[in-house]
Amino acid sequence: MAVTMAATDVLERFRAGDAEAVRVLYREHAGAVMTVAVSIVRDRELAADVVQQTFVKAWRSAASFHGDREFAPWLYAIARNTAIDALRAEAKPTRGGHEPEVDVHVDGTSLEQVWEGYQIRHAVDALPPDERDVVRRSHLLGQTHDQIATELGVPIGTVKSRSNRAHRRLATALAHLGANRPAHGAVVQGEAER
Amino acid sequence: MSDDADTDAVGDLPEGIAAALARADVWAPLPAGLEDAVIGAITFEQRRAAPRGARSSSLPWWLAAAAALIVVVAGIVVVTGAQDDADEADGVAFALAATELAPGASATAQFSATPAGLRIVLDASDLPGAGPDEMYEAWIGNGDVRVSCGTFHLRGGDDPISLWAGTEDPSFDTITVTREPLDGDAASSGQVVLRGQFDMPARS
Repeated sequence: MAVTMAATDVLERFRAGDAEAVRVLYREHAGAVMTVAVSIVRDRELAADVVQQTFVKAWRSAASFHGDREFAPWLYAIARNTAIDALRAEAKPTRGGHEPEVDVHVDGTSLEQVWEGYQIRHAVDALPPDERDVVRRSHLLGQTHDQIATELGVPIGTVKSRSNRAHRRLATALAHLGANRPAHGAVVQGEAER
Repeated sequence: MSDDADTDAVGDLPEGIAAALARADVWAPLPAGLEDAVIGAITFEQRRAAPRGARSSSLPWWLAAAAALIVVVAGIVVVTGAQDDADEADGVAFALAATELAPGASATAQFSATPAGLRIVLDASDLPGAGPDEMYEAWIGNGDVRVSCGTFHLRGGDDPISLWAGTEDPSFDTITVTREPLDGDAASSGQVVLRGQFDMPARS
């Protein structure tokens, strides 16, 4: 379904409960929410449920979102809380039975890293598809430029150009992460209402 | 990191970002059909809330009409009228969308609250029969809790399948079908082939 909506209108229409505005925001942020969900619950199916719940909860709370706040930290807080709730629920021994004092541990990943992951995924998803593919192959798959060029059937110069452009875009979009890395235990600004 | 990567460009990244780009969660793919499931869930809530006027005052008529159209596109079908089985007289059917694991498949699930429990009749189309060492399993849940509704294989055709769940929890709103290996592990494999939203029916 084609979605054409001026960026300036999206958040206003989101606050009014417009499902099509949610679709626009989903296409921009769903990958980042998926990254948050997977990094916390470590289960793809449960993470997909978390993504769905996050956007439905955001839509339900849309009226409480103020236009002077940034959308990404607000949505991130909903995603993080939804994922932690899902993790707690998975830890319960039985439904309706004794509920233990569950302290959720995010294995190997601090909440600061989870927020960082959201921002990195958001920046990656904003790359043109051909540049994003080169970055993915290089960093995730560990492929050399030669290997990428062979697999994609393009000259190595094209791969290097795409890589250069992509990394410059990422460096610009994520520069604040280098300058303002949160101290351990810092709280992300823009916490959303639960 | 590739050994002949352009070190100048990668070096522009803030400290630690290159390492973070190698994390699998940063590249975790979104399931196909999840976008429609999200929009379907929202428009379903809009539709359910509309008679109570909860959101109707904030929606202009054309937006409500668009939402109604989306409901149709999402394939949410309310079944009313006569049914062959008296237990299904108040059954309500909802559409399930395929994921990338079952491209082209679709299904409707008809929910009926009976004295014995929740009956679900799953009518799948273009979902291939399960392999010899696997089966399908249906689940309902609310994101926090997930309950199995039974298993099936579809190797003998695609006749409707009767499933049962021993709960009518009104908070349950998601139905999934997963592909499960015959490995003795009762937990979900996470291989979702169909996914949909539903509204728990009231017992008549």
